[in-house]
Amino acid sequence: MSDLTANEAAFHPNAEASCGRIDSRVNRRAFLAGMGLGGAALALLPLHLGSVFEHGAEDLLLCVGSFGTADAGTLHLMQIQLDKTRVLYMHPSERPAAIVRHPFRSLLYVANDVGLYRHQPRGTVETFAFDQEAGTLELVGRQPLSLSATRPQALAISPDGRSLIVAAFGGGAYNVLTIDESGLPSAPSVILKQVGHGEHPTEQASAHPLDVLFHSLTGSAIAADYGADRLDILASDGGEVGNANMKVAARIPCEAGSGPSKVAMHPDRELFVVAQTLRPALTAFRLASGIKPVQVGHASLNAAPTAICFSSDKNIVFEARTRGVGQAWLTAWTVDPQKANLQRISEIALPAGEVASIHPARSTLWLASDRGMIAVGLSSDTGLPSKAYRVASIPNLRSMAVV
Amino acid sequence: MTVVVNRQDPRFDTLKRGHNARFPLSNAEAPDRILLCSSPEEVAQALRKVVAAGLRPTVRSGGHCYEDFVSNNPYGAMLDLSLYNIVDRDGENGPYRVAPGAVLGDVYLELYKRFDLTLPAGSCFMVGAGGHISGGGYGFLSRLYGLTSDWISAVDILTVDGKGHVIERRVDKDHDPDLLRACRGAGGGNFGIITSFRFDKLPPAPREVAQANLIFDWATMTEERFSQVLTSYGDYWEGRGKDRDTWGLFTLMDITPAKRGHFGIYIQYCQPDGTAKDLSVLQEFLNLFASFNPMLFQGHGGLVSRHGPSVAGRAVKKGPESIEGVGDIAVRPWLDATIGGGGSGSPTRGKYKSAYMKRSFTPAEASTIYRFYNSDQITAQNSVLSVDSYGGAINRPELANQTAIAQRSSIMKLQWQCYWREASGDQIHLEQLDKFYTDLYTGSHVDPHHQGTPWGERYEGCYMNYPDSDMLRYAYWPELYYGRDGLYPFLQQVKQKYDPNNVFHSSMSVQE
Repeated sequence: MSDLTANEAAFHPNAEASCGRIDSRVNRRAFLAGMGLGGAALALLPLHLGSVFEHGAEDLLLCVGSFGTADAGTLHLMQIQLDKTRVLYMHPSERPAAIVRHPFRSLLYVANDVGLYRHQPRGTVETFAFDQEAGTLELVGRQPLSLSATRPQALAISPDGRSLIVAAFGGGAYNVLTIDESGLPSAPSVILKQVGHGEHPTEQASAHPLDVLFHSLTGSAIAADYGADRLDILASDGGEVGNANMKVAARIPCEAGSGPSKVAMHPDRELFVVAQTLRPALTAFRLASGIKPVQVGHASLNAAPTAICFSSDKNIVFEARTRGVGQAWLTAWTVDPQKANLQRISEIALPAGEVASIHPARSTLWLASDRGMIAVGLSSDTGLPSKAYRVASIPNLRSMAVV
Repeated sequence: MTVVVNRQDPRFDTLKRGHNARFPLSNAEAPDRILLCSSPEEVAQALRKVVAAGLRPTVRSGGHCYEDFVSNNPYGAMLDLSLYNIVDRDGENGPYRVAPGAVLGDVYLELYKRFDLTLPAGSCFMVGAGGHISGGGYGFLSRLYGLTSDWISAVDILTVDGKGHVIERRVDKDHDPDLLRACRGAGGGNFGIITSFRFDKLPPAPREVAQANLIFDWATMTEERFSQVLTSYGDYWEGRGKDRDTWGLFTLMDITPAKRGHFGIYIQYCQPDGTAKDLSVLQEFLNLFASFNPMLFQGHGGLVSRHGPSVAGRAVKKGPESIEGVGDIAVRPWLDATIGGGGSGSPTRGKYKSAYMKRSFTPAEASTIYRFYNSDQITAQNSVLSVDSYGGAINRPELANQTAIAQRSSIMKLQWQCYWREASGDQIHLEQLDKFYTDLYTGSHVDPHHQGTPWGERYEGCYMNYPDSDMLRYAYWPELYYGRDGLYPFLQQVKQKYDPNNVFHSSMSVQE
């Protein structure tokens, strides 16, 4: 207990006990030292979430992944309460670039941003079981991707919980992994090697799938290929979600040299927005009919968006980008399908340099950033962001999922 | 017309595997379909469909890949080129052409009968030209004539551009010369599919060769005596074997387990003019071993299987007590000596390793080899270490910059071969062979930063046609196979240029 800072102890009274279960073979102090984290790095700042967290509401659990340029990476299971945030548990994880939760099992799937696994050019997906009551994580499996499917950056789980689609940025491939009855993903049952390139000579020399989301109504998935300037619609012949017949059913060209990088789906599942990195912009699409989307809006930006999401109950897109020297901003947009454009409606500065992931939950936006976890309250009337607070100063957050 | 063999086809179980029965590792790891192509046009069409469908193509010529690069291809497509096997000439005076599906035995026969020429290729009749030549294949005539890839003047190759289009290229010194160099030895499965090797000229086939076998009795071998045999052998190649008049001499020392009673050296010799009238060079070599009282008997009569357990079980025929007389040396027509053997035997499980040696054996190396083959280890009983002579015409330094074979200073090339039948033997054989190999290259004779691998003053790395995925554990594995003088970065540039999407890949392909 003595190695906790005062702040850490205040927000995490059981830290020693719970974190001691990270791995019975790993001493907590040694583990933190190995990650390059001192106690101060974990110090949690005071929270003022009263405006967005109702008294009596259940705790919110988030799983966030962090890794720097040198350290292997860590998953942090965070409990968000009315007046405090606690890191309940930490577990080593290989460069957790993306995290998704199983729709009804207590399992998390993590895309590991690695180029080698057991000396072979493969990325991997880790499976963690979480115990909501005990506040623990347990690594239950690690599945290698197909040969050359390296550096996966995104993964999506089908609404029925039976398939994972992984976007392998490095190898330019999609892998579909069937999830077995125990919840573990099996070896890739579908491997879709992508070809293509864009205008940028180095960034777009080859196909680089960077994001993927399932669309529960159509059974298809929408993926952004940063290297090939296109959206790939992945669907199966029989309409079954994620089955063995999955293939690239349609390709939607994006602006040449744009580098589509992120996809955000509207909760009503008729709209989605794509962030462009190389020619910074947001583009909105409507899933009008069939599987081929129609562009309904476009807005050029002065800097590349690093994360986007839709609000959970409003027609608002939130987009984070870094401007100037290490200053991140959060901008709110509405999509007007009639006028075929995106309207900027609000913008606030964030206590971060770069935001990697945004998730809405409990009338709050949760942002995983280079300087820690940030909470942004949303007005119950307008749905627009108010003030941003850093609620945990864990550095190099890259990924997040609501547990 | 391309023949499509899918998983429901009764031929699938036979055709899904190559000669190494370890692969595919499981039925799930096998390709989903095998496309048997009979022409370059069929190959191009099949490749277009495969790429458009987002499948990984792997390519098979003869099916002798030592690792899983071809047969392990889950959900993918294997393009089998074995039905495209012509050996001919482009017009009356054009280049000689060898299709990738031609097997070496047919290459020898066709080139000899049609043109009185040959290719300094390998010793196994059934090895396919596609993989063999792509990786810098060598054989009994390589000390005299160089490597197969040294003779390539052009290739027809299908590449896949950035947009996924299949591009048909004729690559020569004036067209995509960087790709031509890469195709001269870097190994198959890297840049595209070669549909024809072209040779402006080829060496003449020898008229005749002399053959002999020296057989050593393990019972007479103390560790010291065994070490002397090895160093006598190695010293010859490090010294006298560099002289041009010896380049027609090629030897295979097969070190087999002591429990088998013997190990031996197979010798083939012809003079630079392709005759075997003056055997003084051969006699000089034989005399090196007189003090070890080996048995001498006539040559084995044809192509040597390097891919099956028969190598380790070569029959020993009682020879004369003395090796002084040349009457025990067989002089045969070169074609008979080359073709008289046969295939690779039935597929069996196998593991292979390799090393290039620039110097003779050290006592430490000899001791490690002696102890292994005198041990009771099951892997020792199932394996053979082949020590091939090397150098001669291969070691022309200027070729290092014209081809993709960096090793131009070695005097011997070693090949570890281990064979077994049951999958239950996989683990122990893979582990024991790896340990033997690692032990051999651990110690003061190896560069301190490359312990466990053949790298440093005495060694020149490994041979890509004997790929060994164990070497992937060393971050510097590309140096082992491609040297340190810029070849690998060059190959990476070629890869980015001609296969930017890494359509052609394996665990040991050139990494972008």
